[in-house]
Amino acid sequence: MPASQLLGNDTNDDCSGTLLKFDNVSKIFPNGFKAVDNLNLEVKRGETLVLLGTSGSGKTTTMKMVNRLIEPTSGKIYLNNEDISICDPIELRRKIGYAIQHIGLFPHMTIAENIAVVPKLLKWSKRQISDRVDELLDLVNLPPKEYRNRYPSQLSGGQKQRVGVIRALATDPSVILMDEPFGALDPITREQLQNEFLELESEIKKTILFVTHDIYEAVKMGDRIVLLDEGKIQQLATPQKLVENPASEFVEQFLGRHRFQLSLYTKKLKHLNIELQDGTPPEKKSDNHLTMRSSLIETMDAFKVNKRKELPVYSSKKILGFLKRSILLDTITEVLHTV
Amino acid sequence: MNQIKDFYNNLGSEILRLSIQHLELTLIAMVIAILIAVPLGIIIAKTKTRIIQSATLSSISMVQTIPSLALIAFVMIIFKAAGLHTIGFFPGITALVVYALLPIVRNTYTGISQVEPSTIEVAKSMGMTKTQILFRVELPLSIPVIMAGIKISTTWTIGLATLVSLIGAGGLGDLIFSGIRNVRESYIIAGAVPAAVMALIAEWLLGKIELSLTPDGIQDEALHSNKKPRFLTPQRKLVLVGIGFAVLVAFLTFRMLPSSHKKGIVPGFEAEFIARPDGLPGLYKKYNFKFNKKPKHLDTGLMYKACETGSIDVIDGFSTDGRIPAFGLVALKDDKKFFPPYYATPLVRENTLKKFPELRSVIASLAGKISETDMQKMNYSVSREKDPIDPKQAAKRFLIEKGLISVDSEPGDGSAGIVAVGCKDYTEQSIIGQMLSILIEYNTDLKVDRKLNLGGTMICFNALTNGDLDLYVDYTGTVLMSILKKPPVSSPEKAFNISHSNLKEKYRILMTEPLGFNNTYTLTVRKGFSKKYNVKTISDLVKLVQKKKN
Ligand SMILES: Nc1ncnc2c1ncn2[C@@H]1O[C@H](COP(=O)(O)OP(=O)(O)O)[C@@H](O)[C@H]1O
Ligand SMILES: [Mg+2]
Repeated sequence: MPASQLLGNDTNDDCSGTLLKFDNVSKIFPNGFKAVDNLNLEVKRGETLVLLGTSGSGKTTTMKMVNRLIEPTSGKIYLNNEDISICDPIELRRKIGYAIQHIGLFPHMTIAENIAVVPKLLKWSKRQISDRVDELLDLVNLPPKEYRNRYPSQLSGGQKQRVGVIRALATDPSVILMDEPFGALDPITREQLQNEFLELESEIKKTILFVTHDIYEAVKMGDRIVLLDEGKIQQLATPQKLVENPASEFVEQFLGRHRFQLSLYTKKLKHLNIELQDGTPPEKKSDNHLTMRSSLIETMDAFKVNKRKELPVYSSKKILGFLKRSILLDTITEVLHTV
Repeated sequence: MNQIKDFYNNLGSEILRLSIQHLELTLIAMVIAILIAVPLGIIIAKTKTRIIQSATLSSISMVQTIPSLALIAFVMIIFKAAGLHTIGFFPGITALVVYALLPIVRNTYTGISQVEPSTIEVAKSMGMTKTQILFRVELPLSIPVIMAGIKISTTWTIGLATLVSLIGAGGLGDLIFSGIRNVRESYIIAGAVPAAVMALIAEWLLGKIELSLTPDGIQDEALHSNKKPRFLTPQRKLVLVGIGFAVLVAFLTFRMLPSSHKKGIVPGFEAEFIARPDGLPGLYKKYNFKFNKKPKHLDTGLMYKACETGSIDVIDGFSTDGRIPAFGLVALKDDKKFFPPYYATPLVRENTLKKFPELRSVIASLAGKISETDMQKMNYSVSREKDPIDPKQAAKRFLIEKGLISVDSEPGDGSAGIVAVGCKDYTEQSIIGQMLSILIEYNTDLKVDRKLNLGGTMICFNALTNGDLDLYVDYTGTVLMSILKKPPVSSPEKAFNISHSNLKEKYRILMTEPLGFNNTYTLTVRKGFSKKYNVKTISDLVKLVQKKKN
């Protein structure tokens, strides 16, 4: 069966369905090195699953087996319940978005041509391609008029990486593989791109397999995190669970001294017993307003920016109540003791 | 004289014609070389086996180390072994192609293998097939390197194309070699300058092509100038250039076809013979004909071989050249007496004859004794590669054969005086010089002072007039035209008489009776050819040429 039939482009909103499944997958390289060891893993439709681990833990190998750049030694991988080893690898790859750390833009092609590679391979019409390129460039705030015809060498690192990401999205694939996509950027640009991508992701709701060695990035980007070591899963959990309930000594060691800081990221207002009070709403809703899903670190940030003693917490447009700064600080002190 | 002027007036159009031919040679060779070398470079870059890569590259490099002339000879040997014509366009092109391969193969290989593996993996991960990766990623990224190889190769080929003139492939080399052989600097310049200019233009033009084929994204200038994307994308340009080449090759092939398929007699001459008014142009006038095929320019060394193998039917040659019999050829009789007579004749100082009267009969004993065939044989016995004998031996053998000296006789005691015998610096002259010396030594008591291998006519003749030499042998045509500066005369008797009386009056030198052979230009054909078509004289050949035309 051709890949096109396996992979509908319409993303089913049924978040419980499994899109990608690793079934007892192992990879032993010809030199005898076992990079992936009996991996069992299910990626749910619409989620961002982060593969986390130190360098050499088998993250990239795991990811490359999905688009068959590497073939597993044993075990099977299913996409939409179909065994990918039966698909034509060329067609399979055209249906899977792929973005990597070294960006991998083709230096001899313009930005527009780079984004259009897969649509062209899929024989989209010129009109369709051109519209899609503009749409994607707009999505990451690169004005098409200015950037379409530039070459990669005429872009900054951050701009290039944005193009690398939207190129992976070009044909609206149902799965996107991202291998340390922000790894080569300076910390400020990296954070900016992470935020942009999170925003983008909340709009497009893609199933993403995201590789990183950076625990902060994992916590920030992931719906769930798989911690890998020597090709084996050490823990599979939501960021919060991973940080709060390490499954083993290894995981604890991996988190190390970052656990308190990390919990500021993973703990959301809704997870804490916080009392909201009455108050006076500000004239206008600020850009980074608080919701019950805001993390502690975001909340602290909001207080720092607004310089107020209390801030409104929203649920979409409705104000649920006001959070006092003193209450927030008490909560943080509590967290400090529990971790 | 007019003919010489004609030739000079024609030099302009000749340069143009040969330049175009040179361009054809270069272009065709380059197109073929590119069509072979680029795919070959790609294949070895794609081969995973190291041994195959290095074996291919080093065997091509080895070809490059063969000196270009040796390579041309090597190609001839291969063509001969394959039963193909060893002379002309195809062996010429083959040599050029073989020589042009290396830089292109090497640079294609380098260009393809230098593309970042990560770039290729990205291309693969996006679902490109191997072919798509090659044409959309690897080749565009390698164009600057591949073009650099093509540039080097083209410049080489333009240079080497001057050498394939030696095997009759034509081109500017015709002018250069004609200039070298005739010591006409103007010809050398007329050939070398256009070739150099051509190389410069090619370099410049290929630079332009390279720029336009190189994707803007990997081109510094384009990136800085921030220009709009062009209508002519690299792919479109590649297609255009490809079409251009194809049309050109088709056109040139079409041009060549008629001439290579026409049946008829194939002439091949030395550049000098084609150029000299007393060579081919005069022959055409005198016999009122023209070969159907344009005569190929050939180097002397190759000409005889080419005629023997049948690549060429008619060549020029000197009637006493030893290679005529050696290669199974036969000289045609100049029945209309076009080529001026060059009968070998001893020149002796009158004073010497007065002093040693016995010399007169000794010299006279050789008169009319040496035929062209005799001279051919003696020349060959001295100049052949396998067991050559020295001129003295050849001369002595001949004298014994003709009964002019006997096997067991001894030279005289040398008491009667000394005569100085001279000769010019080539085989035939050495043999004749030795022959006269031996004859004198055996038949008189004179001692001979051999002053052999003097560098040319003027040196010999001056030595004779001022008494450094007593005698040497020259040719009637040379005496008439080079020494006395008289116009050519076609009657041998008249030529002799004019020379004889002038030498006697002006220089007090006696021209004795000719030795018999006439060393002049001649048209030469294979013996088999002569028999088959019953061609014995030039007029016979003219008839045959005209018959073939219709
Ligand atoms: N082609 C290969 N042959 C042998 N070993 C390999 C190969 N590719 C990767 N490895 C090894 O497999 C391990 C996992 O590699 P990888 O999946 O790239 O790790 P990472 O988690 O850093 O992405 C590493 O120790 C690496 O050296
Ligand atoms: Mg990796």
